[in-house]
Amino acid sequence: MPRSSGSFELEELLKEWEEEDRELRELRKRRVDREYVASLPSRLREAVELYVEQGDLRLACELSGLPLDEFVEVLRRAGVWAG
Amino acid sequence: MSLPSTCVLDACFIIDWARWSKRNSLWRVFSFGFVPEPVLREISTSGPLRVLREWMSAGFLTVYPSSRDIEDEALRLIVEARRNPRIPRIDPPEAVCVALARRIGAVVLTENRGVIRAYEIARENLAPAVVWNSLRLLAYLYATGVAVSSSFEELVAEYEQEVKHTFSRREVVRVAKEFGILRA
Repeated sequence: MPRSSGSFELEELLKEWEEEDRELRELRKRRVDREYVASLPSRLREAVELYVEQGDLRLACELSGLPLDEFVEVLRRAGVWAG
Repeated sequence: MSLPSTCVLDACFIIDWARWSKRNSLWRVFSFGFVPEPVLREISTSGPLRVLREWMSAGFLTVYPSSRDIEDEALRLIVEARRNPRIPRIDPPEAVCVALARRIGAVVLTENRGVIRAYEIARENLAPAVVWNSLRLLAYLYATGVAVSSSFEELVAEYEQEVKHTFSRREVVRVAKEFGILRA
């Protein structure tokens, strides 16, 4: 397993994280239910779009103004809960 | 693999596992779990609350009350993580989970990428805590035969379908390698 001690292993791990983040972003963009998202109130819609783009659950949840579990349910309905 | 017998649950883990039909397999791996008070405050919908009630009434789970020393340690973790631009942000509820797990030597079960990556990048800094996401717990369940499936990938697919939470395929492969269950 990669550890902080090996700089090569660390670089490999960082590259892997980048690839995983890219894969998840593409997946969210591909799967998002645009019609459902368009039907949401503007604040919630922007929060879901932020999550689709960045995958940052906490940031998007703060923007939504919803409790965490309610926001995750919205992400599920939008087809983008991933990561 | 020697694993602590106690776990600390964060909100996203509870929210997801409340939807999974095999959620009680958790208690074939761990004998006891804590849900810190700040995490409990994040749960407001009926499904996850019902599961918490079931687990608490069965004696598997206890609420860990807020305490100044754990919150101070959580704050230190948040600040340390913010200094490293490679680590996504860690928020107070997850940081409290890690601080508690460090204190008692437990496994943190979380979907917070900041916590998971902080652990991956420097495990020794968080020891004796272990940090797993659901994917790693699924791998452990499969590797130890607690969850039976035709393959790890099949188990993950079943979980994803029930929970409506998708993992990175690259991470699925990486975790399968980590647990020695990668199909040839």
